[in-house]
Amino acid sequence: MKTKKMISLLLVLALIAGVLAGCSSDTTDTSNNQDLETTTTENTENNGSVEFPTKDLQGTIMWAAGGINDSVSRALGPYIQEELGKTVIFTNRPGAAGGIATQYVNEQSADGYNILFGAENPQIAKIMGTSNLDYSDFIPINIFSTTVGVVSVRSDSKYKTMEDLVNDMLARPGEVTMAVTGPGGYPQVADSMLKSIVGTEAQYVTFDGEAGALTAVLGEHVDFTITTLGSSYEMLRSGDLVGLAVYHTEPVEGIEDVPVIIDSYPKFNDYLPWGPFYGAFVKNGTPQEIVDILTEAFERAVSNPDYSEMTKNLGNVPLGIGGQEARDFIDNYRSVTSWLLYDAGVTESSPEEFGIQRVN
Amino acid sequence: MEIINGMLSIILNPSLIGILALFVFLGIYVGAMPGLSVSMACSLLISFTFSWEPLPALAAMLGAQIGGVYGGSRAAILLNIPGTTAAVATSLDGYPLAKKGLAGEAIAVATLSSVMGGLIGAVILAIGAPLISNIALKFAPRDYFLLGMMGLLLVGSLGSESNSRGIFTALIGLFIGTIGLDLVTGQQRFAFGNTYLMGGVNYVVVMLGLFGMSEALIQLRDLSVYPVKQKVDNLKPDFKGHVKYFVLTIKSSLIGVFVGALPGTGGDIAALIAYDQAKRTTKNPEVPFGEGAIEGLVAPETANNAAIGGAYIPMLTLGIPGDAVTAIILGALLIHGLRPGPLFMTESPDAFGFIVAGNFIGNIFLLIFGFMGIKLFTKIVEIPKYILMPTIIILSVVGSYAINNSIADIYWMLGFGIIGYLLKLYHFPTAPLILGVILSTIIEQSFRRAVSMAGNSLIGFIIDIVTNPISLILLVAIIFMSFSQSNFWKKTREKKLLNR
Amino acid sequence: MKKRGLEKGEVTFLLVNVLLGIILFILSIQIYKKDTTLSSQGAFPFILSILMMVMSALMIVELKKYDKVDISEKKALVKIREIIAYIFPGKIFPIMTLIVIYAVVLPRVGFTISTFFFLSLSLITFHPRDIVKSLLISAGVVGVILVIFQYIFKVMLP
Repeated sequence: MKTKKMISLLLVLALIAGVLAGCSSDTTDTSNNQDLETTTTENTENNGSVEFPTKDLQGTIMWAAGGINDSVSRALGPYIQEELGKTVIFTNRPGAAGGIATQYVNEQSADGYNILFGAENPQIAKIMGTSNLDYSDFIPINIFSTTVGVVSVRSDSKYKTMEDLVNDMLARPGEVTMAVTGPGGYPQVADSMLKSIVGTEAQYVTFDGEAGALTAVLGEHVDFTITTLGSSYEMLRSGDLVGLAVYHTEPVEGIEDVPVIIDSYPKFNDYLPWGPFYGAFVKNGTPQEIVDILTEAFERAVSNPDYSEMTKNLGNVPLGIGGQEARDFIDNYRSVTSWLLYDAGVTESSPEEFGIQRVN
Repeated sequence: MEIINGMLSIILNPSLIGILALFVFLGIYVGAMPGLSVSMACSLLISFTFSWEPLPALAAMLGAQIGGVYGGSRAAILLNIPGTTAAVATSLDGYPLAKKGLAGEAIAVATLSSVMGGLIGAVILAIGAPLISNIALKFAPRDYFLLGMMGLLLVGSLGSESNSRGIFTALIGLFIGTIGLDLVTGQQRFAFGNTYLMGGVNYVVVMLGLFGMSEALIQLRDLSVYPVKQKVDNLKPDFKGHVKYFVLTIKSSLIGVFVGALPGTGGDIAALIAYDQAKRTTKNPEVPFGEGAIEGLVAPETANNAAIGGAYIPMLTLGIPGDAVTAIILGALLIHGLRPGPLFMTESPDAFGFIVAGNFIGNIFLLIFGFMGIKLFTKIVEIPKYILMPTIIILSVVGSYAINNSIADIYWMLGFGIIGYLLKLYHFPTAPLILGVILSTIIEQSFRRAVSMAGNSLIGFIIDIVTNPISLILLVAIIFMSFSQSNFWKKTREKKLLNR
Repeated sequence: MKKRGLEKGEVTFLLVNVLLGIILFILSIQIYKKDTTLSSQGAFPFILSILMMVMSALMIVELKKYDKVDISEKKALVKIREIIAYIFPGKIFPIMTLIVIYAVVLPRVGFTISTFFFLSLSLITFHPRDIVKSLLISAGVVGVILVIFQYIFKVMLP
């Protein structure tokens, strides 16, 4: 009796295994060139003495699935695979405005196999007190794209222009509600800029990511929000949301009729152009040869025209810089934004404590 | 018209149908394995299907989603380990049925219910999407809070011998949900500087430990109890028999679609609320709830599959995901050049029609594949316990590790396993704990948002609830629900019945 | 309504829960007192811990409904032994030890080896006579799990 049952157990398990093995693609070895039509598959690069990569790469994404950070990162995966011959396995680790992800990658070995796919938030983590790490603890491989912020309200909102909104906030401090995504998130940073320049005081209501913030505006639960163009693009196009102003120095392709904020408040010129960015990073201490291999591969992957097209469709501006240029770019962002937030009085500590110089 | 085109494009295309079918099939097995989750599978699929055309890629993910949500019920019924959170409510009556030797029947009912729910969900998606999404938008944080509380009320009806024990375990669950970095302030709560705790306690870890491992341990206490022989006559879908659950099916589907359509809530909450509703409205079940009531299977399974259709509503009409899996699919759509949002139905009506048709056909395949191999599955329960239980423990270990490739998860799972073991030993109900963990975030965050929107005042918060139609309705429902199960009410009813 | 008798160690367990409620209350207060607005991060845990203490008190009160076993008559050592016997009947203790060993060994030795040993040892514990069969089954199960998880689903194993 017992034997019979054991045999049936094994049969069941074997059956399942067999069916699954039969139905899925390849299995056995670790290098996975799956269904991709790769015209040129460059396998392990051999620059000098280093063979890299010899196994799959782990990509940690800083924000939740379905968001812009997630989309631009995952979309890049296959192009990276073309360049390096190995798959990037993505995992989302959202939380603490990027703190959880930076922490995780920082705990792994600096061998180039653990890549952080993040947005701009870590650059203010230290002064905001959301993490002990920022990008000075990492080496930028590539900054894929940047985006701009848009102030949006519902289409039937009583605010028809940016001045309407600002004046109302000045008249009733602390009563106009704004959807934000938490300390260190883009909406709060953008609002701090506004606060520094015009002196407004909004009542924050915190949501889970920009999608949640925008939903709240659509549902008339809050008065306005300032989010990246990427999150709000579709709703602006459909007219469900109206953009009162865009945080840029000139009209932005795709939303040409949204007024440029420097037209109403020229002081923004002190800071703009400026905006969130998305890129890939590895931990400090990763050997230079590996960094070079990754930099070259990413640069080629990012400049792929299909990827650029998708980037633009998402409301982003393709950038594709690496090496020192990337370093300067993100350091500049860090200085500008840190001091901006400090001046607005919303930080936990002063940028000076971390050696961050003023830029302007 | 374009929408019809879209629908036809899949109906007439054998390779698309084939892909859909294949992934429904695979999805069932992924969902059935405790530790493998539908979200994980879909994330893998995004990279896997990247180079495909958009439509086949979509078909694959849709299939995996439909199969996966259903698959969770298998493990829930057979092993009392919900394969997905959506199946937690299913295990409440499914597992008792398995223990009685009726696992086959339970799986059959669950399959049929899932298919019914899925089909109704697809219909509503097709005809009512814009309407429902408009209503869904009107749900303010305070309404989400009330909804979460409704889900929590299920605790009261979970048939523990003492209400206070049930509430206590639920409170523990809620508390566990608060561990980690606070979403709003980014500060640590109850993490004591431990890096693992800062990321919060993952509900899958709790589920695997509390349901998987602890149940395995309990079973191993008494090896003299041999697994009951399962009744496995030829099992076919029992359409006629299902007719008596018609009203229940419709109600549960509606709950499922609607809760699924609310961004941020999904099949798991839908299943819980549906189960609770079923329990309150079924006057005289043949078998009491919690011991194998068929109604207790029909309701949650119908609701969680209907919620799939529901979750597509906000995603396709607003570009906002309805739950975790649709969030991933949203990313996939973006990568493939589609642009879900308010303009989706006008700009890509064929894709919309495709998704609707896919939902329909996928559920048909669910019917076919669901009924295949039931006998094999029920044999699993007949495996001698001393082999099965350690295997379950191993699977729980693998499952915990698979979430984040972190050994710490395994240890926490073991910890929860021991806690669950002790709880069961001392007659504490364990289901409220997982309920608390699952619902903690939505209840707490909604509460805090609603309160800050009311100027941080409790009075303001209450006024907001009372002065808004949606909130008021929910509040009245909750009051009624909690009142109707209090001892006072029960005793008054008994008296009335005696006096007749 | 006569209810069941209390299990061995149940009262102790309930007291542990009361203690838990108090500990959590203290922890929550520390967070709450920094910011006492209703929407602060400390408010919700604070409310929860208060409710927990209330519930645990209620649970103790409810004890009077149960069939009480003589609690005063036995020596402490005997009681403790009974509690342990209740929690760890039969083969539970060896299995739990195996689990703990498994958990500790896993990260060092890797999945395949540790799982194989865990499974075989568990099976042998229950059926000391069928060693060969146990080894074969363990090998089979480990093999299947490896195939399904690692190769097909590409899930990393510990």
